[in-house]
Amino acid sequence: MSTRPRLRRSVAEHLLDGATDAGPPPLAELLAAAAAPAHPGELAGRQAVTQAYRAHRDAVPLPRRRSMLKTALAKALTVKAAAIAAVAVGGGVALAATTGVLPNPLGTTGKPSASHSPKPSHSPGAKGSPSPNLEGLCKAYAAKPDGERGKALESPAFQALVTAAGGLDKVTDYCVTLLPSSKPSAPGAKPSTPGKPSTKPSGAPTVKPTDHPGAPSGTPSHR
Amino acid sequence: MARVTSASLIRRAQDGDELAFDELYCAVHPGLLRYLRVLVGSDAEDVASEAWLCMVRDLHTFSGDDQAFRGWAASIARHRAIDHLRHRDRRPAVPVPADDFMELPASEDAEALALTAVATDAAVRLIATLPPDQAEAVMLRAVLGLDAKTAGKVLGKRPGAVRTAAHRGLQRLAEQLTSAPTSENRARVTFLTAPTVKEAR
Repeated sequence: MSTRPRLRRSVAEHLLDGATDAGPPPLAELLAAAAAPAHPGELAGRQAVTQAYRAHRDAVPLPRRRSMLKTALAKALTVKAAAIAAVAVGGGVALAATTGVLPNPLGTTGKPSASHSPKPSHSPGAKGSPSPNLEGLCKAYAAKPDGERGKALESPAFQALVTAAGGLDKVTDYCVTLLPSSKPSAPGAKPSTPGKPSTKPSGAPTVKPTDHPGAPSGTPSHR
Repeated sequence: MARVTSASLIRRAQDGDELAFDELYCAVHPGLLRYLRVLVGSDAEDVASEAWLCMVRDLHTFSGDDQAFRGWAASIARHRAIDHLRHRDRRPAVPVPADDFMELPASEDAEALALTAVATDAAVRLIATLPPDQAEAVMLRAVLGLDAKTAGKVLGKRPGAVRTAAHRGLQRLAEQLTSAPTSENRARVTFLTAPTVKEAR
């Protein structure tokens, strides 16, 4: 060793904590290079691992997933409660608008919440997302009338979705997971039968949509 | 590398949110893979895959924040690596000679160069030449973003021992880097050539 520049402990700690402006520049740069963002080649196993995740998830239904379903459901209902409240306040009779909103929450809440951004931000230059069209397929699936959904899944267009979900009967759950801020109305659970909506507005104005997203007063009629 | 993966992201991945899991993977995997390269050399990809399968299987048992998750991932990866080495009955592959990196064009933009895959590769290889305890401590802290306490858990050591090992590692790296012959404009990418200096000693 020709030179022995002492590295102060505090500087070393700083570097180890990820600082790039401490210590001798070559060392800082070495560490920056070692901790650089993902290089595309490093994510080569991404699809395989995600596939394993999916397979495991679908093979072993976790109790927690149910809580997530409930959360998604609650969110969707909150949106409705807000819509109803708005309608009730704004025009009273504009129930048509409400039913226009309700049957297709997917279409109207097109913007996923920030926390659910489908594009992982940590993968510059990475290969395409493993499931590029699934979200779109889910939306398309949810947009179909109840009666046509089962048939739709048999068409090749939805094949990728069925495969990703792990089976015909799992598509609804899968889509709820994928589009957590909205909810495809599952066959059987009719959230928005336009038959007797008159029960809703009466209770609705008291709902403060932002207060208790977990317990909208409209819940019983939907589950 | 993104060092922060929120607790809610982990939670969503546990709840079956595939996109959340993907995001988690993209945030944690590169550091994990680089750490494994220090441990098992060119077998890192295979061992990383095994580790991720374990993580997928046991994800529901995990509880904790981002630090804890990275520590958990590192522990699993380390166990897989040790198993792997035992099974293969050999030491980690000796880093390839640094000749590969001598050919690198001198770049105008040293910072951009430092962020290329080849620079990352060279940096990890150089760290891998440290004594194992120092190399691991440096990788866990500076690359995987673990604090001394979490890294200590991974390595089965006290935080103080991890700090000391990491500091010694950095000291050694700094010496290697500054003792490499440099001209003004190449000073910032010297780590690319540093292993040669070490070999020449």
